[in-house]
Amino acid sequence: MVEDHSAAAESEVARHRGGPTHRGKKPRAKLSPLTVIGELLFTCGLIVLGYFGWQQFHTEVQVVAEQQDLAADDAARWTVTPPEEAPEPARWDGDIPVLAEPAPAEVFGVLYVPAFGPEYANRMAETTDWWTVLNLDKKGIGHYETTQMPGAFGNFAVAGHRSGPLINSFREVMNLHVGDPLYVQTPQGWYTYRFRSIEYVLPTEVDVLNPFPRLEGKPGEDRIMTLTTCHPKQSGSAERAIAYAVFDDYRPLSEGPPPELAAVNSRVAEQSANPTKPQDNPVEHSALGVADEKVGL
Amino acid sequence: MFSLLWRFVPGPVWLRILVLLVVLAALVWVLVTYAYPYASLLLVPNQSTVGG
Repeated sequence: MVEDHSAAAESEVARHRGGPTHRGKKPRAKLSPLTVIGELLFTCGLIVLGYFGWQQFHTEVQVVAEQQDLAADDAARWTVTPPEEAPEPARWDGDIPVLAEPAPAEVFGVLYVPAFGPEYANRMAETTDWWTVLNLDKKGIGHYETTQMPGAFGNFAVAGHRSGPLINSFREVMNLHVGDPLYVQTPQGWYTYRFRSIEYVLPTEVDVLNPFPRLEGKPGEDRIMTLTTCHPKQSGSAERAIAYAVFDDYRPLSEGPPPELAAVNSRVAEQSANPTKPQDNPVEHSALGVADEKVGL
Repeated sequence: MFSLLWRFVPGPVWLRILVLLVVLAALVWVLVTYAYPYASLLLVPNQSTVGG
């Protein structure tokens, strides 16, 4: 009796401990430090892998969508508030008004390039400073402050990232074909450039920023746009890819966006759905004079 | 480590799975909201300007 009782108590204790007698399960193996290290490494690997997935999603979806929203906001603001608040009226180069030089880090325009994606829109800001313009998700394209403004005689040169962990404004620069349009929208209007050629240079070759790229001399009557970005795409600061475009057309904001762009870009098409009526901004007309007149080359 | 985690969570199997999935979701949220954006600022992007 006494022995039976103690045996029963012992098995009771063993069951509470989850010992070997419990439901006939095998004894649990001791946790090896190697197992713990292996599982930690596995977890770290998953976290790093997750980063790469996140970066693709962030730069190709989130930032792109954010830029399209910001561009639409800018366009709405510019069409409502014409640039008469600028300290001095716009300079004119030939028939084309030219925006006054903006302050550093100020957003002065939006770039639309259907070859980069039908809905592509990206804001442009003054200077190519690393942490106030180029690396910011809300800006991402920087204008070389030593070069001219859109529509001016000379070279309108901008820089942007093509790959990497931050905004990739010029990711699809190799999609450009001869004649592809690049649209620059500023408070002064729509400037259309057409892609001509691309070349690869060393980072030291700053003559791509000359008023006429690669040639010395004063600005003539050519209007060039230059895009600079890194090359090779994923791993490159060794070289630069330089894309050139030439000026094609100008439209004041009051005429609405270029039809060719509105046909492919739904956000821009919304702008033309409610174009600014001329009487809404009489100041722009008095300041610009012939703003109603369609001016070409 | 994973076995310790499994034993740490109380309840029947379905509840343990549910709790661990919630913990996993919270972990992913923290990574995406705080850790990954912070890490992206530490990684150096490629140079894209000339003369700079």
